[in-house]
Amino acid sequence: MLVEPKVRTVSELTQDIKLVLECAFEEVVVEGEISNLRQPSSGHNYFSLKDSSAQIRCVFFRGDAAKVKFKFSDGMQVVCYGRVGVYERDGQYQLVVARMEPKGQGALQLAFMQLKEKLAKEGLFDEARKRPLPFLPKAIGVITSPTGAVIRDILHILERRFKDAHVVIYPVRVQGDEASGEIVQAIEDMNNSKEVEVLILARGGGSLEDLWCFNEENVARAIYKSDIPIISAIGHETDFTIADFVADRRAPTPSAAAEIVLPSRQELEEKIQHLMLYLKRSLEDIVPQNMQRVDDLLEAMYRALGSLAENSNVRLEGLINELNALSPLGILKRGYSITTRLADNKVLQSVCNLKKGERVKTRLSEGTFVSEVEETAAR
Amino acid sequence: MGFEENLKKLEKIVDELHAEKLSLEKSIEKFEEGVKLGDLCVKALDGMKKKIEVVSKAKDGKLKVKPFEKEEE
Repeated sequence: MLVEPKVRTVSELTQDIKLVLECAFEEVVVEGEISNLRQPSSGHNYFSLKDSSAQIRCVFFRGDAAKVKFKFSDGMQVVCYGRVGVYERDGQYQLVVARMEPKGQGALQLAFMQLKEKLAKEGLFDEARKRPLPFLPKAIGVITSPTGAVIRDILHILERRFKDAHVVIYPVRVQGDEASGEIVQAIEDMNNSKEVEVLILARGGGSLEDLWCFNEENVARAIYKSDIPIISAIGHETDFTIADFVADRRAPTPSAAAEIVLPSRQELEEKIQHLMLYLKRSLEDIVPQNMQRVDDLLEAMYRALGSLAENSNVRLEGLINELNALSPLGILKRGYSITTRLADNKVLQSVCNLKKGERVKTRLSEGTFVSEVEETAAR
Repeated sequence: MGFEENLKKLEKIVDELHAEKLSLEKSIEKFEEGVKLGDLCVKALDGMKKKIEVVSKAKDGKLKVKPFEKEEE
């Protein structure tokens, strides 16, 4: 007698398959190339993973996909962690992805490279954009964790270098999912309050994961937008974060940021002292030099004036002598006299027109007299 | 005017005086300006006060600052 084969409904069979498959492939790791990626507005991701001879459908639900820091796209070689699931309605088995990593490198490394490339293209790292730091800031803002070695080191070095620094600490978390939002808020608040002239964004050393908030796009954009120049001081000298690239200045360590942000007070004071000393010395040099020159000039002037005066005297005497010699008075002095006709006051040079009885006036060196002509005789 | 500008001006004046190309009158003028600048620099340094503050945010979003107390080591 033939045993009647058990007749199952499609649903029953599918259920059985589902049970078998899902039990057998509860945890799988698959590598392949992403193709036919669809990302509808629901936020879930649908794609296929394929290699040269096979492919498997994949679904990457929104919640899990949000944790992926890098951007995945068609053609990318990835490693997917997940389980096999059966979608009963369509009779499809698929890989339900819980986690995805790029093949050959860490997810964060890739995310870092991708964001770096994107922001570089937008010009966020341009050297021309970087603002100069104030030489002697009136107040310094420090955005960092209020506890731990970092803030202690910064305060210690500021104290050593300057003693009287004004520091405003804005405490934030510098690790974990909340960190980037708090850092962005801190940068915005500090910009709004306008109390500080420069900002230090600091964190101690850590793994790439620990430092991750400084590689987030929102932090990069907040630094870019800040009107206050920002010094980044994140991790150790070998750690480079996106924040470092955007910041106006990168300090290799938090301690170095404290060295950069303020000059050494002692060096400044010495410099001012030296300048003042040079200043006084230069005037001390210049005044005597000029005095000497004034003396020289005066002497030369007196000499010139003196010789001029001397020359003048000689000349004057000469002139006076000349004048004297020319003056009629000089002639009289030598015993000569001048005679004029009284009637017309004409100087008499000849007796021709002189008649007997005419009156004449004679001028001597000292005084005059009038006389009457008694007789004339031509020479 | 800022500390750095004053310091740079002072440096420039010292250089100019050192070059000895100015008239005596100009030299004395520059010297006097230099002394003033030096005084301003010193005063700026002396005027700085040590202050370490920490920001906290009130519920209404307003920022408050209070003195920072170093944690015990």
